[in-house]
Amino acid sequence: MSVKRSNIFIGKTGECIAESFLRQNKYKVLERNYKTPFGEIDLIVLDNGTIVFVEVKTRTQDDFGPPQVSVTDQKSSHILKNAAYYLKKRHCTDEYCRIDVIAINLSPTGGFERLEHIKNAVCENTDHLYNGGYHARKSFFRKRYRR
Amino acid sequence: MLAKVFSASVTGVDAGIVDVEVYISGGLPAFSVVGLPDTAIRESRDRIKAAIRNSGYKFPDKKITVNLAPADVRKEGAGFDLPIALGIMAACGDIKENRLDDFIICGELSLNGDLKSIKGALPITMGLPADKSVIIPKTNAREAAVVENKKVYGCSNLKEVMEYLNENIDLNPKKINVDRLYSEHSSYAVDFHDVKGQEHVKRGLEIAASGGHNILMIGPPGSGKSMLAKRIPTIISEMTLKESLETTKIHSIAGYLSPKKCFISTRPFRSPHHTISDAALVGGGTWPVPGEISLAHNGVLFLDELPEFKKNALEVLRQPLEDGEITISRVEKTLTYPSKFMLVAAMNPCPCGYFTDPKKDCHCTPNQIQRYLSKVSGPLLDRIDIHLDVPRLNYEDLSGKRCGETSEKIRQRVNTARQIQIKRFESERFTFNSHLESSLLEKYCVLEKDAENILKTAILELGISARAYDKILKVSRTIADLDNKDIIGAHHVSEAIGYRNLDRNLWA
Repeated sequence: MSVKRSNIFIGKTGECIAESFLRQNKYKVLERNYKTPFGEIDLIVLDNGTIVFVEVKTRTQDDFGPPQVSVTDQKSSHILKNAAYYLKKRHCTDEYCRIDVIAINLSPTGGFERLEHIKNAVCENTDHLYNGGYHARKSFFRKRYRR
Repeated sequence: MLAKVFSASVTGVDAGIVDVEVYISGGLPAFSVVGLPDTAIRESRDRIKAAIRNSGYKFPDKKITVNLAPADVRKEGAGFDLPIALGIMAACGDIKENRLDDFIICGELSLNGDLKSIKGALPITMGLPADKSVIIPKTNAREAAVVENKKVYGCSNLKEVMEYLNENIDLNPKKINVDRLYSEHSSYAVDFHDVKGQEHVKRGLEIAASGGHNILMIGPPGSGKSMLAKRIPTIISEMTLKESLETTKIHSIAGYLSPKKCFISTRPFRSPHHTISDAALVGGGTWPVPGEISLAHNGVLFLDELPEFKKNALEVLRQPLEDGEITISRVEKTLTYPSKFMLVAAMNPCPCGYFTDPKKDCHCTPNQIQRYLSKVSGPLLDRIDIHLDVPRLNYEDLSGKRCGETSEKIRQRVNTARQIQIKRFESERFTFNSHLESSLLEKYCVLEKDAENILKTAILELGISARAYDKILKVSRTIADLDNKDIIGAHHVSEAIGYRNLDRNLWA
């Protein structure tokens, strides 16, 4: 239990750091921890007219690589889904938007060490347009499973 | 934010224009290419992104849709990298408006923005509309500049193309002196002068080259069959500019040209290994590519160890030998490539190779020999006019100081004989004696009385078949042409009969 709470705490700390970082850099914060049926968007900010969905990743150790490596294909498809939901809800699917990742390293005691802002980190995967892409395979298996 | 760039893709031997449309819109960032792209084009997304950034430009973090029109024709190859990259930058407003309308643009990008050579630069330039110029990688510029009255701009990287389109720098269209290029490249590394002895074989090859006859050489190992075959292109008359362009076009499509060897003005000599598959020989693939017979267009296709070739590989040769072109039909596409070549085949008389050798014993059983020879089918042999026996060389010939005639001299005689044929067949669809149709034999092959008698005796005594009769007439026509005679004489016919070894049942 204690471990879990500490993980949530680390995450929250990271989000706070990210938010103040973005504010400093003239971003306007629209939403924080925006909930959707598919999950949550950490931060939604406005950068010069472009809607930016921000995924914050915080780690206290580098044993498993830097924080950004944990944004896997699966994770990014979740982020995309959440972002699409937000855009639909606001009727602004034609607005310019992008998805950023902010990777934050904390020291084991919780002090701030390093922050990296990766702009446009996640791009919509269009391989489903072509035969045999990731999405085509996924839906194929899902259908089989349902039967 | 819409931009349009013109590019081209090659189907068969001709190029068609492809419109590359780029639309940049709002929405979640994405980069998709539609319009039946193949894997190489789909992968171009990653190359383009890196190339644009590494050339010092900004890649838009927006939704990018690329359409390749006409949408129902499949596009292939990496040549669309450059037009797509330029389209993206034009849609961002980085290129002056209407600047792209005058160009057809092709090129593959590397990650650092350099341009890499593409396949088919020559047919693309040849198919260029009158009001357009072409921008291609520098490595292809020499090859494409051969085409007259077309402006060809060779660029080495994306930055250079951008600077040129924005009129910051001025490029000169690549100019090339075709006549000089032609003479520079039209010499052969080999010469008939190197071959000692085998005078009657050389004579046979001269006849074959004159009349465009296909030829089969039979002899023991080491008798010089391959050496002789390699020198056949040197005695066929020089390629005309039209022939050169035809052949260069095919080599361009296959991607066999380099800046150094950008123009083919010597007759190609292709000698595929006997393990070749039928698709590699005549061309094929789901999306057909030219095969060895098309690469040998206007030249010589040499099949060494003929019976060792796969049966189906040899059988597919029949139609192209007859028609001078090959039509490849696949589910997705039917294409025709030209394939006018002279077939030169070589084989041993038996599996061990020494059947006709007077010095060395042959260990093969008649059965083995029969099986070996039967691998070459009748219909294929039917298309080969001349069968030559290539004997082992004597010591005197090998050690002798006397060298043979030079290719130059033989070529002069061949040229004369070819001129006679071209003149004679002016009103016909073909130009060479080898293509004479049987219905026209009587018209063009007039025999002397003696010659007729010899032919009659040969048919009766030697058991020569009807189809061999036609062949003998055609070959004797060529021999008479070499002799500059209108009427075929007795010695012409008897020489021709001498070139039908396989019909005379010397074996088994």
